[in-house]
Amino acid sequence: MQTFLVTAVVLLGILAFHQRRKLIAAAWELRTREWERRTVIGFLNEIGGHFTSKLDLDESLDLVLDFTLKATRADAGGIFTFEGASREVLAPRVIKGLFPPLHEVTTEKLASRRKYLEEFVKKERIRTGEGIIGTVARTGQALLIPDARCDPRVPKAASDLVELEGLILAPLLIRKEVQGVIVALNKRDPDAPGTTFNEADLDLLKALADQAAITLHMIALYAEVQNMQRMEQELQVARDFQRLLLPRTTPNFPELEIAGLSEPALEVGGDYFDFIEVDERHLGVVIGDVSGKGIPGALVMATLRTTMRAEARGDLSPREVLRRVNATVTKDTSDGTFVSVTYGIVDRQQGTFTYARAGHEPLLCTGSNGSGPVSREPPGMVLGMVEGEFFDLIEEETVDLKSCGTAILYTDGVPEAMNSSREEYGQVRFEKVVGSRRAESPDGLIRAVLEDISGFTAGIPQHDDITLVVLRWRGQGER
Amino acid sequence: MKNYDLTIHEAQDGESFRRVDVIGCLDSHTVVSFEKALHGLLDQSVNSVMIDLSELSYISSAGISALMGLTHRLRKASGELVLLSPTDKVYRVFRTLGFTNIFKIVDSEAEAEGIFSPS
Repeated sequence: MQTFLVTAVVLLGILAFHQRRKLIAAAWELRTREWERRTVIGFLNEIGGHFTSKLDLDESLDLVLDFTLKATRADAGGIFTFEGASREVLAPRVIKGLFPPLHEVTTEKLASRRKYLEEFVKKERIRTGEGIIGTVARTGQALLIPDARCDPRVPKAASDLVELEGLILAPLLIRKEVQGVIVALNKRDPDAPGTTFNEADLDLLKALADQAAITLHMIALYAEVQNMQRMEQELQVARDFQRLLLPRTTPNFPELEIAGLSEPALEVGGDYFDFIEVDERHLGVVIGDVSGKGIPGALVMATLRTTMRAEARGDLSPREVLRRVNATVTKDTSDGTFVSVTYGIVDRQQGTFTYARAGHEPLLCTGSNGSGPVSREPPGMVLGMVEGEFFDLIEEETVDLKSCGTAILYTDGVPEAMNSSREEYGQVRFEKVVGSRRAESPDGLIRAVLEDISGFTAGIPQHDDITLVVLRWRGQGER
Repeated sequence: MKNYDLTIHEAQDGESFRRVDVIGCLDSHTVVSFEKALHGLLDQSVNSVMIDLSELSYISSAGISALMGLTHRLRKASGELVLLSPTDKVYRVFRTLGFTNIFKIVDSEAEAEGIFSPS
């Protein structure tokens, strides 16, 4: 009996210990995630402020690296990008702090004289695949080296030269294609002296690298345009960029059918949609329309997309997410640009859609047989205009996807499509086609609407983007 | 109907605000001239403005941005922008975008008078 009691107490103790560790781990994970989120948003704010003053690639790279080193508490770092179109050779674009060559070089020339180090590293070229920087450029995989001194991938000369300890490297990716590599060296955390980089630091570097890649890509494109000074080119760049921001694939679930499509207009644009994994059970759906067109509009759209993605993770209240996104977007847009957005979250277990509408077009439910389509327009104003009491009037509401039938989100390009007599396609005709084709799949419904619009406009080029996102609940039973 | 036209009425004796009529379309093309005219008026230390929207047939996001910019500027100077009688269509755009909470929208000049010089 006594043995049993002792065993039981020990087991309970172990259990309690494990529970506590789990709890601590969960709290830690949450804190780390929150910190990562805040850092990425801080980065966006800083870069956003920079956009309004100047768009210079080298200056921006400098800014990106500065921010990254501060955020990861690194002592030194660098950004490398491809030189020329062949993508075979990487050149350092910006270097900060004591940065040794990270591939095999003849160090005689260096003779451990630190003051020539920067000059030397800046002249060096790295072939794709060569050393750790070249490897990250080739594989597109981020790399964590907690202790460089005993890692065979780091040349000994490098660690001797600057007392190299830890390293993190991340690729700058645009649509999975490597554009360059960002490196941070030696963690110097005043709150935790003696610690080196860990997985959380690597995650943060990856998140920052994502933002940096998209930012730099945009600035490079913009610089191209500035050189050409041609309106048409600017529009083409904005269109390309806009396309880059749209999801390439649609998430697929057994219980939920989804389709999304954005048809950019020839001249102007500004529409955007996105799908965000809020958590395992909840899917975020965003649709938006930026009032500014061309490159400035595309920049606002990029900020919106990244801020939405950062804010949406793990938060089940669309109203709260939009309130925080509004704060960021309002800081970034000073010239009267605003964005209309509807953001909703599908609960894939309950079959519900909880959404808030920030000045965007209403949500349209096709309804079940016998009832007509219903437009839902809970209060809420556009993002980017005001913070505080006026914005806080935004309300969220939940619709049951089963009774909603098919749920349709769209931009004003749909009802405002024009024919040659400058008449609008209109809400009435739109709802009529939606009602009569409600049995269609989301994909089919979008096609039906687009066909009806092009029948109406009869070949007149559209003057605004047309975007539709359609959801239909299939139900748990039909898995 | 003309594509776009704007009239700034002369200051009347005893009137506490300046009246502006805007006709036609306020979109990204016409908004440039609209903003120039209105900001020019504000530069003359006018802080109370009523814009008659009854003949404005269309307003784009650029037009709304311009109205918002004017509202901000006037409120900073302790003044006010009042919008008179927008058409149903323009009002619907204001409502969808959530601007009906911010803009002062009235149906009559008397109502505007009450906002500019509250008794």
